[in-house]
Amino acid sequence: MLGVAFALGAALCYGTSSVVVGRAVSADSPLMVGFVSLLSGLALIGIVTGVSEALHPTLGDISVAGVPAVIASALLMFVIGRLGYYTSIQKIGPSQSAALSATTSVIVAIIAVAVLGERLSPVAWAGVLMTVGGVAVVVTGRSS
Amino acid sequence: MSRYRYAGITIGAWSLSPLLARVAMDNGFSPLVTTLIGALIGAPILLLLILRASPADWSTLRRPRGAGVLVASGLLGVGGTLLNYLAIGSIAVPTAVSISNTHPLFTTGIAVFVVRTEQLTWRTTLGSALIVVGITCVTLTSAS
Repeated sequence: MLGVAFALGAALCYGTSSVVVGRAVSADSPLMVGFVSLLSGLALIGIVTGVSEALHPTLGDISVAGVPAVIASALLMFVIGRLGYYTSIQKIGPSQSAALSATTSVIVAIIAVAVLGERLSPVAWAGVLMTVGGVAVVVTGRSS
Repeated sequence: MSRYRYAGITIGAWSLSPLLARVAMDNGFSPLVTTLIGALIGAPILLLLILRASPADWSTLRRPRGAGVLVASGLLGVGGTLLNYLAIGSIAVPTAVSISNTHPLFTTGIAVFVVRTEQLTWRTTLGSALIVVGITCVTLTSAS
């Protein structure tokens, strides 16, 4: 259940951030919004990681085989995805952007099953689809 | 159609990123280190793009209120990413992504109950119910 709590925490952070970013991109370019916001987050993560590694070192567990995955994930999450999302908010608005981005759940599930060998029960698949559908209903029904 | 291009880019990037992050974690990278590396890679790239695209518009930083908004969004965004990676490292990737993608529900909740810029509608209530049921299905039945 801790993993579920982490994921809910992520949803809360992202949801709150959307409210904040929505205001920012109306006045500034997505590039500037993305850069300044990432810089501030970098400071936080740098401090937290430094303290964590000092207390419980994990760098020794790293395998070189994971380096390409880390780099690719970073580029996709922090550069391409972030810029794409902020620009999307600017072009089509936060509601539609959020609704469309929620479809990643289905795509991730399909790729995870096909490539990583993860398994989802039929009920879990129904849950994924219901979650995506629920998000779509919420964001398209918002009076923004 | 070109207006939705950026949403499509976001969907692709954010679908692949968590899967690659999971591969990195399977190779010894902790969620904290993965997030830090991502931010360290992303920040200079965004800065380079800003410097190449146009004369830097630093007016945002001269407006304290504007900079504060961006800093807050950065802390929330990177914090959310860290929590998302912690979730991905703890439970099945589709489960983690499905739950973290419910962020529009939190955005709506903040808009309705905190900043009070929107009203609760039957669509919002229905969508929220679908999301809660969907998450319950996913968390109780998915296998990692």
